[in-house]
Amino acid sequence: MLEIMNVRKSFSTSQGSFEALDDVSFKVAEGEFVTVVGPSGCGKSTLLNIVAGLIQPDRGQVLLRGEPVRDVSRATGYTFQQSTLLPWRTVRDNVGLGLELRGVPLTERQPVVERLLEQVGLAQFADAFPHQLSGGMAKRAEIARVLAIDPQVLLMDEPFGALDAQTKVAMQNYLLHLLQNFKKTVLFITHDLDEALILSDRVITMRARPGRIRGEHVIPLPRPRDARQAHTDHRFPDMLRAIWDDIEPSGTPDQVRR
Amino acid sequence: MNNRNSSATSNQPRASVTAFDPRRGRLGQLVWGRIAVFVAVVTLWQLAVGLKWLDAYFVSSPGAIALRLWQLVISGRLFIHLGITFWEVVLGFLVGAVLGVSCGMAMAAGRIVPEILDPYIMALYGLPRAALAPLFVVWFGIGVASKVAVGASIVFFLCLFSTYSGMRLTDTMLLQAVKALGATKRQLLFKVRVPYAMPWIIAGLKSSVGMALIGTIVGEFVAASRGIGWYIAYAGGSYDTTGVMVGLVVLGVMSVVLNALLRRVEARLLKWKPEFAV
Repeated sequence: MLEIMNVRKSFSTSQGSFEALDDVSFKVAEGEFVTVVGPSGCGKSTLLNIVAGLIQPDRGQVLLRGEPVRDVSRATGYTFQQSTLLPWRTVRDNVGLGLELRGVPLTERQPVVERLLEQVGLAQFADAFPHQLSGGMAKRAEIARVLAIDPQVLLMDEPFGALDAQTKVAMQNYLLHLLQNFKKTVLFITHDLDEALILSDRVITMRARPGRIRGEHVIPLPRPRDARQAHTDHRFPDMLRAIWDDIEPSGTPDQVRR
Repeated sequence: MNNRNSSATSNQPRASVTAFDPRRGRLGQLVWGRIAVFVAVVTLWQLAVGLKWLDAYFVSSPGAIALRLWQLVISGRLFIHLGITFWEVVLGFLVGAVLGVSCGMAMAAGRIVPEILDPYIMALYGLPRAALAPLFVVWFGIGVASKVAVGASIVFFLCLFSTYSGMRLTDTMLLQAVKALGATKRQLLFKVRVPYAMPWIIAGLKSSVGMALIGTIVGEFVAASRGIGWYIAYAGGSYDTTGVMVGLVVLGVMSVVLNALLRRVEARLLKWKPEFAV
């Protein structure tokens, strides 16, 4: 489905150039949920930007269904940590934005938008502006906006990173539930290892400077999953420790210090 | 504020609104407060002149101003002058705003061209536009066109800078997100950057109204045969302070009315901002 092949990317800054990604390769199968975890500066976001076609790698390439990604791909939907809803548009018009940009006429996009608003539980807030929404509602609106363009692959860059703990768990459950209906391939980024375990089929660990892949872990938790139940699985602590060791072998994981 | 989540809670019963509407109470305060200020100033002014604290020759008096205003209304002369000035202001504002906002957008969309033009724009911007009025009279005659040109030349730069700087500040995350949704360069411009700059554009337009008025009056001072500015200059030339005051009062009212109109436009265009939510 998605093949990342020998991708390299370096950026030049005032302190000289640094290797954001150094020879990164992995594959994501159709319908698979893969999470990339690693300390800040390991090039996770750069990787996602390359897969989305927003930036070009220095070397290597990304294949989506065998086709190289050269420009912004119509087959991927991207969500970010911050709210990127357009504040001057109502929830309805935000959700319809992707289709509008593709020139889909109003009469055709309206039923799609209304159905999605229903599915993400925002039908009553269709005419609200983003500033009137709670953090969780804004997230659901963003997910609906991405689902509206019916992408094959969802790219999610720490989408729940800015939410409070309780809303975060609710959103994780919500995403698990949603993906059962939509069956998307997901490439997810987080620095929250719990989140990675709860959501993923496979976790890929990265190290920083240069950004390299360290290892990968298959998560054998059964589906359908529930965020709270996943925590109580007897395998959870061992899986967590294995991933921690990958990212920071000497002990204190990055996540705990934050 | 108190109206922040109004649309989110609109399906709940609005018992508090029927019991006591704080907004209506505030409106009453505003209206009565404003009337009180008007009455106080007029009374004090009239009293000061009546008791010879002030010389009516220099400051006129509310009574004399009202009388003159009434005479001008009856003779129809007020509407001739007011009509001319009003159109000059509106046209100066519109021409300057349309050109300024579009050039601001073009500049924000470009990369190298704005930097090439920068010193020339700053040089033109730095010129006191009042000093250009005689030149505009030579170019466009003593009619409406020269006043529109003076007003528009001031409004143009205000709108240019507000549009340009607003668009430059566009949140890069929004641009990236909308680009990832498949937006073209053109769509990014009109669906993200221009709406993003709208609060700045509106702020520029709001100060432009007053500027168009100044430009027009300066133009009328320099050369005209009609208009409120001409009337003020003419009255001043014959030491008729009442005439000057009448002109000033009319200009003041005009500026208040134009600003109120613009505030409506603002509330409509910026209704997505929490500050303007109804």
